[in-house]
Amino acid sequence: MIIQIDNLTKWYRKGRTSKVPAVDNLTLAIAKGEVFGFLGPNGAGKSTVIKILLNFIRPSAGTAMIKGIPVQDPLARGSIGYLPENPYFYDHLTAEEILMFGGRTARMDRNLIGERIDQLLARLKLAHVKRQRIRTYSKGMVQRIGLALALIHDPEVCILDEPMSGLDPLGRRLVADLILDMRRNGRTVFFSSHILSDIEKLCDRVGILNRGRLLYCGNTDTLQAGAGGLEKMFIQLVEQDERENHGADLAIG
Amino acid sequence: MGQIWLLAKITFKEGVRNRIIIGILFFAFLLSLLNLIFAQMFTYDLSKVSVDLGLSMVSIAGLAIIFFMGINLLSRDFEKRTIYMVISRPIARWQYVLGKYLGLILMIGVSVAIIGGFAAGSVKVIMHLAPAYVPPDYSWGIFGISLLFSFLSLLTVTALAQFFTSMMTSSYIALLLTACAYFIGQNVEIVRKMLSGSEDFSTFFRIFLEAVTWIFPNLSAFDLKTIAGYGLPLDTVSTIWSALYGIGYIGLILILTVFVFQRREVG
Repeated sequence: MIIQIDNLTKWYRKGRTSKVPAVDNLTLAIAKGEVFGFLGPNGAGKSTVIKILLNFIRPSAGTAMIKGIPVQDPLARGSIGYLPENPYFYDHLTAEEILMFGGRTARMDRNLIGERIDQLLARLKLAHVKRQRIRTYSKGMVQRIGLALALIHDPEVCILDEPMSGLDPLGRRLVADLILDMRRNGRTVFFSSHILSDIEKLCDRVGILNRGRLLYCGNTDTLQAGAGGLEKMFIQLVEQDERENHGADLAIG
Repeated sequence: MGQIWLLAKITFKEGVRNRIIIGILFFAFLLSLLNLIFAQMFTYDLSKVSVDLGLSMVSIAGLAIIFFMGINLLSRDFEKRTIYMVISRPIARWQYVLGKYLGLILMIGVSVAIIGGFAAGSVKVIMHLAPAYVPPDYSWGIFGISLLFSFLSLLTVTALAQFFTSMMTSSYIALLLTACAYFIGQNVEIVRKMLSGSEDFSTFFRIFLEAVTWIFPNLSAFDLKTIAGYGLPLDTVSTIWSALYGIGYIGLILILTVFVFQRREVG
């Protein structure tokens, strides 16, 4: 397994004495070459899991490994490309400089990085702003530069946190095509999204998370066939969990 | 070293392309012109006054760069999450701390070299206009060493700024703590002299003050303005000790920063 998460738990303090689980005993394994969609309502813990995989935050319990390397080891990040939900960059740097930094930190050859930058920027329709400072970019352009930075070193694992947010339909199409390309090239993609149609279209498997707990993990085909669409199934699962385990009655849909 | 250098380079570029630094350098240039005017107002010790003003200008502009640029560059990483683009790469936390520090000291170093150039220029003009006031043993070498020690003092403040920024969630608190540390550091020597010259302090207060003088850097140890201005001989041994003290203090603060930052969650 290229991503292996075992009994992962993350508690956050709520007040002085009480704690709330952001991730609760999560076990998940993602195989090489898989496109895995991570679904859940706001605050379900999707970003927390991603931040643990990138070692931005530490788990309260459990382990996470990338290619068998514990995520605490910087080497684990050598094979990861990451796109944050709202990427921010140093305003006064150009796209070329940021991507050069990304390639160099991944120990790529300088000439190879140059070629890769041109190729990626052309693909993401940003070639014309290659030497322009990031502060002049629109939100969608920044999002696409984030994606280019995630892909610059052709990583084995791509972790994308809401990759479609802030993009117009054309941008979303570009990202979707890139994810499909990665799948064709045997890359692993782990991405979170609220946009169920994207998950349906792109993912091999899907994990549904609510209040830090994994409610479902399986093939998208099974899920869609069994319940008449991913959206309906997603809402049913979350509502059921809220009613049975949290005493809440969500009025969704 | 590769990862540290790559991070230092982008930190430096981000810093020097900001308009604030250009504003500060322009301000320093104006101060060096003012140095020419101010020094004319004194009828004695003209060269001492001009050297003093010139080197003070370096310290003030350097501090402005740390407070308005350095702390901003450091805290923006946490506040705007630009840190994600760095630590999501195969870069260890300690490499992040050192890379960021190296980038900042490059930025401050270039600024000090430029402002020091302005300061030396203004001193040179004044000495040319009033050669009678130039001390017989005046040395440009000591002026240069004094400039280097001003830089060392700024490096110490930068290390403290980075320490406070990696500890605090608010950049304002980090700025406030750095400013406090700077003012305490400027007066550590006076407090030490007060403690050794008086028996009036209670034991508790004495221990507390002594602890403070050991915790905060003695920034006056890096102040060679008087020696440079009067053309006094430089005590080589104590100068080397002061340099080692500064480097050692910075090293300790960076180790502490790494320790703190490795435990910090960047969520």
